[in-house]
Amino acid sequence: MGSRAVFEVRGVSKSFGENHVLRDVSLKVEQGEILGIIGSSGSGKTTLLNLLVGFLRPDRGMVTYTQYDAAGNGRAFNILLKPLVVNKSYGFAAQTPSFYEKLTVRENLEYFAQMYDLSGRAIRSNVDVLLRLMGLKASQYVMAKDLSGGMKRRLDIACAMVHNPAVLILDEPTADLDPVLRNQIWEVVRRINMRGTTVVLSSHHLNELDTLCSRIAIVKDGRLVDVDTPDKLKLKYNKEQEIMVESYPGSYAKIVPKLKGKNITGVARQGTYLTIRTEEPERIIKEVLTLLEKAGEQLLDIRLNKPNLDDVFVSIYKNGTQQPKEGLENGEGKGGAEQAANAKEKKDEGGGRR
Amino acid sequence: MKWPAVIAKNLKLLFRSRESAFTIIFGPLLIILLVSAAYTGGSEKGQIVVGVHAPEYTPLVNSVIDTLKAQNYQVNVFANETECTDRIKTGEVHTCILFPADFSVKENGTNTVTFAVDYSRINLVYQIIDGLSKQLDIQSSAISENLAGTMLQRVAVAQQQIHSQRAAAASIDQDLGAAIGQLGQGQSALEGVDVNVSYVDLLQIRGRVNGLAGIVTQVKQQGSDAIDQAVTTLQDARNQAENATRDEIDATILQLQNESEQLAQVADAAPDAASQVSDIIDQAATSMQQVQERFGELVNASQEADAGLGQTKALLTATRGKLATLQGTLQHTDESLQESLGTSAGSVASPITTRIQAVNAEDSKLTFTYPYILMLVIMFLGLMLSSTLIVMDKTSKAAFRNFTTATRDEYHVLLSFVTTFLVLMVQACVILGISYFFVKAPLFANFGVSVVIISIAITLFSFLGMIIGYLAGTQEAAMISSLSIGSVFLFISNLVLPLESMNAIVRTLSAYNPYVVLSELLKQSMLFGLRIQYVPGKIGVLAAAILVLFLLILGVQRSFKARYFRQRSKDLAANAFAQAAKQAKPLLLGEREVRDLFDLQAALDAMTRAEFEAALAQGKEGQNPVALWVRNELKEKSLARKLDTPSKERMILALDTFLRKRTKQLAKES
Repeated sequence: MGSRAVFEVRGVSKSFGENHVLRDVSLKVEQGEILGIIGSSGSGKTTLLNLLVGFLRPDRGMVTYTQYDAAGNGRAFNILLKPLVVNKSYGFAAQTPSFYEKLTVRENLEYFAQMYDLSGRAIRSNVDVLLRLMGLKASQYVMAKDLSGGMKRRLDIACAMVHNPAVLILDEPTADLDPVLRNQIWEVVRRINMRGTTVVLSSHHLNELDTLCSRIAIVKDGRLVDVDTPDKLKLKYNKEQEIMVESYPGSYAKIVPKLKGKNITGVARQGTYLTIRTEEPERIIKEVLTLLEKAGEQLLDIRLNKPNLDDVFVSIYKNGTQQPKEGLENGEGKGGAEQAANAKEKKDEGGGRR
Repeated sequence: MKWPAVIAKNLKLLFRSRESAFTIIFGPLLIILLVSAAYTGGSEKGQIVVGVHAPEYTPLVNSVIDTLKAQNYQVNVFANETECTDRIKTGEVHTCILFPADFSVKENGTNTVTFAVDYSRINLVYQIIDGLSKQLDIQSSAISENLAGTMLQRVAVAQQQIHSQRAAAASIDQDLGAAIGQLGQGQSALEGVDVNVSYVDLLQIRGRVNGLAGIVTQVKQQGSDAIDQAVTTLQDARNQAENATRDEIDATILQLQNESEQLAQVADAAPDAASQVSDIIDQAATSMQQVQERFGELVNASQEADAGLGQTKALLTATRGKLATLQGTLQHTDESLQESLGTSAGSVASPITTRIQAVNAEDSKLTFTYPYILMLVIMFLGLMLSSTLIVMDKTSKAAFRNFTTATRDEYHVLLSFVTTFLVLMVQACVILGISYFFVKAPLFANFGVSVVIISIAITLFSFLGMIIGYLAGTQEAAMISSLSIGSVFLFISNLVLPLESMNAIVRTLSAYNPYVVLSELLKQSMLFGLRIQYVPGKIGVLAAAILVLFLLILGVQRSFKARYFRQRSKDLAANAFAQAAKQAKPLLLGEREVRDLFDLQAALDAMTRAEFEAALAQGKEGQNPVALWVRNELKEKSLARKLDTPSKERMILALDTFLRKRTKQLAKES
């Protein structure tokens, strides 16, 4: 079965006064994937998410939603034409949590579930599942205003999920949260995705998206620079990897000169470690191990740090958009089939990479 | 079924908010409690200072002062009127009672007591008069009894005189009767005289006599002819007959000839005789004509006399009738006076003794003002509660999520109204219940119609409150707006000041004041058993107003939603750009580190021209480092273009202009 786009953005532009926030953006959200949207502040991520579900009207272009029947036949329509149908298809958790502070956690979930015309049984079932999934079971009778920041964020996501939507859209779900809470949120997102829900999210925490997302869309200055799997993006934009070696007694001065001319872009000592940057890590590791052995160094630790999304991001922002252009002609990182394959590959990997 | 969930949510939000909980639960109870206390409890008269001034302190004046004191009023006696009224202006005295000179019980003259009062406290006067009325009533009764006694004596004298005159009237009546009888007889006799005579037409007789003369002439001719013919015939016969016979015939013929001659003589004499007769008849006719004319005059005179007698008789009959009426009246007056003389002066002074048995507590004035107060509570609660609910919902964090659910906005609007309606209905029931048990107002006499009117009132004021809620930015603004609008409705009504005392414009406006219309309807329903079918016009207008308000609500709700998303987009954009600016890499301008435009402004101001030029010279490939930094880091491209200048002054000017504009824009948005 081929890829199935749920939402499709076609040549969308959006301005607020003189500020051109988005320019000619085209993007597909595939069924079952976790699509991360990254970009600097003000790059247009939130605007893109708001356009995706019809909160904002594009100045140009169109966003379509495709509804699939049981047989898998899709029927696409402009999201602005059938807002109630589209509203049922997604859950949206904005940067600011949106729920009633003077209702309890359970009351909030039950209320918003009612707004989607769910049956009583479905409401109870969904709410119980979400309370467990979000780790809010113990706090279900606590007033929402009394929850901690992380719990509020989880409640907001739960509210967005309460009608079991096909697509969950999260706008900066981990903004202002500490690392522990961020991990909790990512874990929740992962679980939601494993239930079959398509997730679209934006975040500043690029390395965390690296481990979570099937695909990453990079937005810069209102333009979609690239969309691809994290690994491919890293390969495209930064092939350098970092080898960290620790040995005893650590006389790295003996081996550093011997590494010159071996396609190494940088060598430096960081504490007890020697760091080596190269585009051929496998070959260099072998050579480093040989050199250490010859120098009488006892190997204590060796690590290979692959480039991360931070590096990709920095690379893109540092060098402008004059980066590999393959697959960017239609505004997408890749063609639909390749994207789906990448997404599938990512899922098969379980989201982890290291 | 999502409506119970929405209503339950609305109720929870209302009850869990301190402000609205007070409005919902304690507000109405407090109002009704205060109103009940104000109207049913005894007033603190000890706080009311009454000034008194009298030119002469008669026993009656002193009696009034004692009565006031007995009723716990503070009474201050003043030596002159001006001093007393001046104290009203300073607020030391609430009202002045100004007695006339020689204020006492007397049969002649009037006793006018003047109350001087600040018009805002006119009710005090009525309260004091009410309190004094018993005392003054006793005095008035004494005067009335004296006056009534004197009057009765005079009536007795009059009655005796009337009684004696009744006999004289009867005698006159009899005399008139006799006179009328005699007149009647005379008239009958006159009417009995027959003045009609048969008329003889003498001219006709004369004509006939003339005719007769003609006939006689004709007869003579014919006789003569016949005799001639007989003579001829006889001569012929003689010629033919025998001698004897001939003699006889000759004799006959001779006789016939004699007769013919006599006939001719008679015939010749007949016209002369007729002529003579005719002359005589003419003379007779002339005489008859004269007699007839005199008879005519006699008849006319008789008729005139008869008419005069008839009129005299009618006049006398009418006079007799009037006399009979007078007699009847005299008899009736005589009998009435006889009866009146049997009553006492006290009964005359106070013929009717009333005793008021109120269906409510005697001191409760709440009954008549109750519909106004109930409507007042409904009005303020409707306005405040619905506006509060709308503001709570639209300013809550959940507003965004509500807009994104698969529920229509109209549904939320409708259920907000239903929530308000339910709460207000419960409130109205609580108030009615309290009133029924404690105030004992007659509330349930026309309960069905009253409920309909209350429902209309709740709907109308709730809709109005919802519009306020959508237009107001904050809960405080909604509350103030609701109170203001409610106060306007209250002011243009009968509850504060009588509408009749206001100018024509306000009175006209009051006809369109829903509070006035609804409270009047409620009063008519509760107190006078109004039926809806009697007022279809008013109900129709109210229904139309409700429909218009509902359409307005939908309009303002849509407008609010559009504004909400527009503002949200602006906020998002502003937030993003602000964050971008926050994360911008600082610019090293000479030795100064610039992080934002204000830093840049300060740095440019502080730099010398040489420093500025040196800083610009640091730019790569001749590019202006300031313009580059603004474009790349702050993303302000239009400003960057303006800052791309080697002139420090131009740069400062461009920056100033931009910051001023931006500050103004931010202030406007905030």
